[in-house]
Amino acid sequence: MKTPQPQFSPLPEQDLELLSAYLDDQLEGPTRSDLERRLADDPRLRSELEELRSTTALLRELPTLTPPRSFTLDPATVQPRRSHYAGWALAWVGQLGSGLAGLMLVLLASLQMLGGMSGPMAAAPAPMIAQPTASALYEAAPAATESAAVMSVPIEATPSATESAAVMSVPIEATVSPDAAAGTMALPANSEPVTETESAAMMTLPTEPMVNSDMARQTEPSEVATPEVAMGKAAPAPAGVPPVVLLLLGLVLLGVAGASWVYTRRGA
Amino acid sequence: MLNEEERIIESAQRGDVEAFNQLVRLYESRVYNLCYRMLGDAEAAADVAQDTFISAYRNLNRFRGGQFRSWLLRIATNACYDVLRARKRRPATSLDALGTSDDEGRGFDLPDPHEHPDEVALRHELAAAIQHGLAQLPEDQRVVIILSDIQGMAYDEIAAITATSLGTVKSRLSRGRARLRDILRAGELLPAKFRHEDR
Repeated sequence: MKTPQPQFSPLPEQDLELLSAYLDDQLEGPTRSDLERRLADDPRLRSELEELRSTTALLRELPTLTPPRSFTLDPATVQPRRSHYAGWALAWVGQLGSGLAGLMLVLLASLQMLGGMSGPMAAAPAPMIAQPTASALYEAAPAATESAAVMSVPIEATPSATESAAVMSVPIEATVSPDAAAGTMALPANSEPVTETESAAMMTLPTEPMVNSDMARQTEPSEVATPEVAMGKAAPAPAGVPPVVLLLLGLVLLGVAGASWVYTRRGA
Repeated sequence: MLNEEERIIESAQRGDVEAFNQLVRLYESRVYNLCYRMLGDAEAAADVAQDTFISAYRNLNRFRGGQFRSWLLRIATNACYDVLRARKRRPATSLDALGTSDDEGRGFDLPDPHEHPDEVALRHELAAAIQHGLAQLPEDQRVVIILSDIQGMAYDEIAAITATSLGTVKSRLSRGRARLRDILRAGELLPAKFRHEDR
């Protein structure tokens, strides 16, 4: 069957739209009466209306086809669905849970990264970190107070500085792992014995691994790296998952929660 | 009727497949006819109609009231668009399904026994010609023409199904009708009885 190119109507689109709406009885008031007046005066407009009327009549006369088969679903092949409310409750819990977990991971990673990226600035926040330590150790042994004070000033590489760096690095492991004794294993063999107070101080220190590692890094160039210092410096890094990974994981969780929320809100 | 339908929908939302099948029986003809007029191919229309009901069942929890029929036809319309898009990507297969086959001869309700064979033939020829004309319309105009002029729906329901405004529906309908009129008037597609003389 040959397909001729359609001839486009010479009537303005606005008139076509009026005629189409008039056919569907959608015109009211002055718009309708204006068009009826124009139809009475303009044979071309009348002819156009009749052709459109014929076209719509042909469409309305098209027979209704009978589907070739039934589209009913077979209960045996359709998996049972959860009920409406159970499904929504599960979706909400999932979204909220993953969103909160993602947010916490992002915050945690941000804190770690901010601390780590501060680099040479590490000495600045150090006193703030040292202060609670000092106050915690207010009644403790002078040795512990001294080690806290050491943090706030540039350090000459001395065994005691090395020790303080090592000690400061220990609590990070202690906070990650409850086994504080493992942290004290990083202390140099020739250091002063770690008192219980020091152990307590280590446990009360806030988790600022990068600050402490930077402290250790500062001490490093001025002395030959001893195994103790190496351990003290390395201690924060393996203490947990790298912050970038935490950040990415958090962002992914937040993204999943957000996408899931948008998906369920779109509805029908 | 609507309250009864709401009750059936609630049962179906609780996982009652038989309740959902009542809805299928109620709307399968309308869904199939929409798909057939959009695609011009009985087999593809049946597949899309089946997919529509499966998709509707799986997403029934996302139906939040309103007209179930509109919601269902919206799923069907989107499924038809997907098929048409796939055909455009693979044009070799789309030529078989432009409504030029003899699908119009199959699936009709039984013809009136008093109808003359010539009249039956003329009716089939005309239906095939109109289907061919529909296939030449842009998809957005085609769906509005089908819903309005073949299925007899109101503008606001068509707007809901096509996710457009009333103004857009009116505009697409007017342009679609004018274009279809031009196609049919252009000549050989229409039997002489329905052909208008050129002005």
